[in-house]
Amino acid sequence: MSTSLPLLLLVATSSVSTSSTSDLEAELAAALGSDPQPAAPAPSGAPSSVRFIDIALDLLGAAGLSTEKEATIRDLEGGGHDPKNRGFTIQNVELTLAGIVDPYLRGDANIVLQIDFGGETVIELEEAYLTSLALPFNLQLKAGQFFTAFGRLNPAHPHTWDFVDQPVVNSRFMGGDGLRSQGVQLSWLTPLPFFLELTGSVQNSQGETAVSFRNAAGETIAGRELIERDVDHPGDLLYLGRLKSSFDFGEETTVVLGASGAFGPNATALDTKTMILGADLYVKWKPLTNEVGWPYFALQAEVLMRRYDVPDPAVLTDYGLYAQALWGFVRPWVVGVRYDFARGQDVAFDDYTTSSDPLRDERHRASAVLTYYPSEFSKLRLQYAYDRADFLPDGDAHSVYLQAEIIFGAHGAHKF
Amino acid sequence: MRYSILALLMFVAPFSSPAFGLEVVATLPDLAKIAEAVGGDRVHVTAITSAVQDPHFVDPKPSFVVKLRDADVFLISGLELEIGWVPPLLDGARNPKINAGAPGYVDCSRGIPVIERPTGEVTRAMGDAHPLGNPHYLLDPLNGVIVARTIAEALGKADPAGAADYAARSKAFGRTISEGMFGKALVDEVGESKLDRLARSGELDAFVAKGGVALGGWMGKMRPFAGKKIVFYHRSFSYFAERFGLVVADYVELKPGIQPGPSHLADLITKMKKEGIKVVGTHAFYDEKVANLVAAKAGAKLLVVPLASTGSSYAQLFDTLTGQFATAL
Repeated sequence: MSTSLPLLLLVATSSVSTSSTSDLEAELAAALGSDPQPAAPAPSGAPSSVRFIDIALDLLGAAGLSTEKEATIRDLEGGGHDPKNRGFTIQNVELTLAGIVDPYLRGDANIVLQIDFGGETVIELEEAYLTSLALPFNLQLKAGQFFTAFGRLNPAHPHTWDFVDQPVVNSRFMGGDGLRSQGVQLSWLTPLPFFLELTGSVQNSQGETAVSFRNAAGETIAGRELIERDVDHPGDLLYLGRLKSSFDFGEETTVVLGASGAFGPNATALDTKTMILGADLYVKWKPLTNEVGWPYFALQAEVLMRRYDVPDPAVLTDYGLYAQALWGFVRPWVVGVRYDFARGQDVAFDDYTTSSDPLRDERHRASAVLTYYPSEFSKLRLQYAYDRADFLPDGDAHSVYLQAEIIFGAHGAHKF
Repeated sequence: MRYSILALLMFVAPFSSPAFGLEVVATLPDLAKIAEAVGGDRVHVTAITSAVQDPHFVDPKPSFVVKLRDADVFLISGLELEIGWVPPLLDGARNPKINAGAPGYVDCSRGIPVIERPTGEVTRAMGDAHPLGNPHYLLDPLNGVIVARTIAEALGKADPAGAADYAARSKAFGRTISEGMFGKALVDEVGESKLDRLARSGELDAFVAKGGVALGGWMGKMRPFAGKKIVFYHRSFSYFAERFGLVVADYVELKPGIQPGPSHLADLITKMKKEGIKVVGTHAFYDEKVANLVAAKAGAKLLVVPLASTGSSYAQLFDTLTGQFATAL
């Protein structure tokens, strides 16, 4: 491995060279059997500035009112970073650290601080991973603790969301804190003339950041208690496959399409499995002569399905989707609407009923949002949500949230 | 020793004799135009942004990732102009040839005499300030000549067989710009490099006043307006103003990236009236309503100018700009 990897690197980076040079190169690399030195960096005429680590702190908080009591709000807003109180909620305090490690690797870490219902501060290592910079064949490797690349919203950090809270289906299938774990991911940008990226990952399948898989023993799903379940064979890990493609329609409209599948064991028995499938769509229109990003129009939707084996035997089948539209009508304002739907198939078990389970009942939610951006580094957001849920005693709920965000530190770049 | 041989190989191997020409991708349309002039038939150049766009705010679309995946050379403006959108593109492209630090990653601001570099403390209370200095250096034609040399050098490294070609074309480009700048007669008489030096040191006027061949070109065209004050929307015209002797007295936006409020606009209009400022310059992608209001209230003319060439060559940008300013002033 120690000799084959640099060899691979050498051969791959010389793809435009003539075959005789690459042969010679390969021979030299094999003969030397040691790490080749990187090419000398090009001299820069821009003023020298040290950039070893980018640091930024993001503060996201909300104030909320709801027709429901706090205990019920926590069932309505299942996301770990959703507003959960009548009154104030610090949703997310996120320390982002990033830096180039060496010519081959970049490092990223997101450390999150939150304040729980009891007023205690909780620290979470949300993500910490390395990313390869110089793999051949348009491959990229990621390793560490990271969000599973399922769909559009799961890997996105809360401060990049277009709404105050996460969709109901994400809270149910991906969990309050999103589907993330320790593992390895390999992605490939195919050499086709359009954008097509394939991603595969293997991660641990246990814990509260993998709720649809080996969630903690003692937790329940649909009335069944979860047991201790060990990893007996490689099939007991969490696997992801994702395909993402994109097309431009003219210079102003871009469409991104994706399909994802997550597969792994669940802890209702020693041999039960879970499968989550999803499809996502993003369409953005923005004129070329935009002013600081305005105006724009963006549509985003995800549809998900989960099959969860339980030992009775039965299969719990759940569906969910969200669809949203955002319109940046005039700088610096953005207005948006979102519709949420989620439903679990009714499977009778002891005294369990689907309709009284906030994680599997039939839910409809309509939200409207208005966001004001004083600058690139701050925002103020007002959101109204109407919930219709089987588990609610009176069937529906009205909630209003005011959210504020500030970000200070390194100038971040947004993903598309 | 063996390390150095390998280092040499790593450096040279990926760039030897391209079969179908070098694939060059530039962030800005004018960098692409200069690369086309320097590269000729040996290169295929693509620009990510167009002349009607604000280069600070660009979506890192997947289609750009595909362009960068195939690039041998990537030209950026640098000075943090593209900081909000180039990093995710490079991350997605997975192309070690053009990663920051690799020879195919070309920061075109190298060797540019950067202006408006803040001194002292830089905080975001100043708005989205550029701590490394003003990145809109392509609005001075003389900087375009430096960029052409930088590009010729980078293309020569990537394609050593064409190095002499690139150098020759870069020299010809410099000549074209110099003639456009000072007039052919003066360049024939004095030479490009001396004129460049005189213009940069501020001694050109004194030199021309001594007699001999008259100053022509864009400099000649703008000379009657030297010292005139203008107001601009954003700090995007500092290099043009400095080169052609205009004074940007104030800005429509409150701070870089921060929208102006009524009190700033009232102060601005009062100042313009008091100092007799007759031109408000802006770009098509900025809020024209605000700029228009300021111009109307101050009795000035609104001038919507391009930030990059909309014609087929970089030089055409200055034909357009000097024409627009000469008419308005």
